[in-house]
Amino acid sequence: MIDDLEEMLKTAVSEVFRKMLKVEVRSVPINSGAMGAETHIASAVGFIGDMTGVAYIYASATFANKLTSAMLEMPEGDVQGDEMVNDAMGELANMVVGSVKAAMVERGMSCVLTIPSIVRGSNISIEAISTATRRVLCFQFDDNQKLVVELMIKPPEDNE
Amino acid sequence: MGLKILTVDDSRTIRLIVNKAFKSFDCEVLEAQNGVEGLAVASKEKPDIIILDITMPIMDGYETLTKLKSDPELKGIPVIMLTAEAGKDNVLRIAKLGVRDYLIKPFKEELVVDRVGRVIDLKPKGQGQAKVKRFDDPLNILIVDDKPAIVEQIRNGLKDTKWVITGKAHSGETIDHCNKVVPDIIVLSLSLPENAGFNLFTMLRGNAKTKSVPIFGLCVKTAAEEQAKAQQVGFNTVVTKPIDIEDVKSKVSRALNLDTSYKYFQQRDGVLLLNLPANFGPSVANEVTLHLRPQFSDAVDSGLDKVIMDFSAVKTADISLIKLGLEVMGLCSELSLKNRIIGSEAVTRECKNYEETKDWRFMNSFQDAMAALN
Repeated sequence: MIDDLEEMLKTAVSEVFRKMLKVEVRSVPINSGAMGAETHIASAVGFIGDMTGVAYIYASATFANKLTSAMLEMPEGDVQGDEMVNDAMGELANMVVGSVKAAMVERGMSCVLTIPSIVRGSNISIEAISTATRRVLCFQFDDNQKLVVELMIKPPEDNE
Repeated sequence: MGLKILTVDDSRTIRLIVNKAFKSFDCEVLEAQNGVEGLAVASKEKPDIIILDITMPIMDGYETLTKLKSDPELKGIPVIMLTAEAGKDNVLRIAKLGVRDYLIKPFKEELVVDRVGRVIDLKPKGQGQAKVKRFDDPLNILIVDDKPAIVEQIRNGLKDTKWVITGKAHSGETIDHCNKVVPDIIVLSLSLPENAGFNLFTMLRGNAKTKSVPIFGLCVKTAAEEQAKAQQVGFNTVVTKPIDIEDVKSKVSRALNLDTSYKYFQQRDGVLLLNLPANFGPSVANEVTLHLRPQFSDAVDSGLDKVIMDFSAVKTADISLIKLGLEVMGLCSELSLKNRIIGSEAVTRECKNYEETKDWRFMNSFQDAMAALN
């Protein structure tokens, strides 16, 4: 199932970026899941039900600003502060996880989504408890900017 | 301001995108960031449609929808759900609550406009407003024909106007173009392969951006079947080939209700001057007739009591000229306006041959006419 989820995530990310930002992204191998010294923004949306877990989408603050301006079709300079970027990143995570949820429902696994939450900072890393299944995917854009999607799922037997 | 659209979504990004999607339409987009706010705005503003998110803090979309549907004053407002939570379970649940439609995120802006346009009558901004376009204003005319020579012929014919002529050969590129630039008029070939002209007409009428744009059919004069079908399905009019450019101008003017009066009417030296052009014919006569009463009312309102009809550029006195002249004479008599006609030798001579016009007195120049009126 986790491998299926990885495919679902790839499809969801491509679809969200194609429809909302009119850009094509490609999945590339990831070097490291850790975020560097540059300020990063990670948005998280959880899903609770037959399958429980959380997905994080993160990018550098500079790239998140670019993504926001592309999503709202406005010049980068017009993006008003962190709040607007946080909201756009949260919405991207919401859409990606929502698309994955739809695919899970098709397979008979029902769940509900949480509202998005945002973490912003530098030198931060995302860790999972040892029993969680974890997948980290990296997506590259035409200008070589990268976006990382990290998925953590609680094993079904722990979902009681 | 016409219609009101309420977007209820906790994401400012989504609210901004919805706002942007309807920017080119004559409507106001109201915003609320959760169900509680949404219900308050709906009660106060009575929007024409609500676009409602599901997953929101404070009050989610399900509860909001339930409350809306149980309020006698609000239950009639159509609701479209816009949600990231796809899946059969959600769809069934919201369908039971009585939503008009639903959209799954991610979405394209055009899709939101399309779905909302199916429920409320969206009109492009500027339409139906007080400002009347003039014939010499810039217009965007889209010609859809797979024969570039036809597009070129129309472009050449209209080069004395400020109208921008764009040619497209296929349905796909026509739709793409219309989503970027909404034309003022679309001229659509009825002889595109595989009935594409009629199919495209249906698509354009179903698209919120183009559903109010006048669409002319274009076919050869002898294609009676195509012309009849075009009228039946709702084309505004049909332009026939060989193309009469004056006819095209006249049809565009009528379809857009363009003000062409400045081409024919002038208030000068205390008189109302009706100036007919060299290309005078039935189309021009129709146009002038449309402006007669408003122009005469205006003139009388401004204190004028004299009318000069300048027919000197007209080449021949045909039935349309005579009918127009008689109508002007009738109006002058009705409003007690003195009048004189300026005519070329040929028109003066030809008018002597008709019973209705044999007594018309023609002057040689504006000065002669003015002298005779004073």
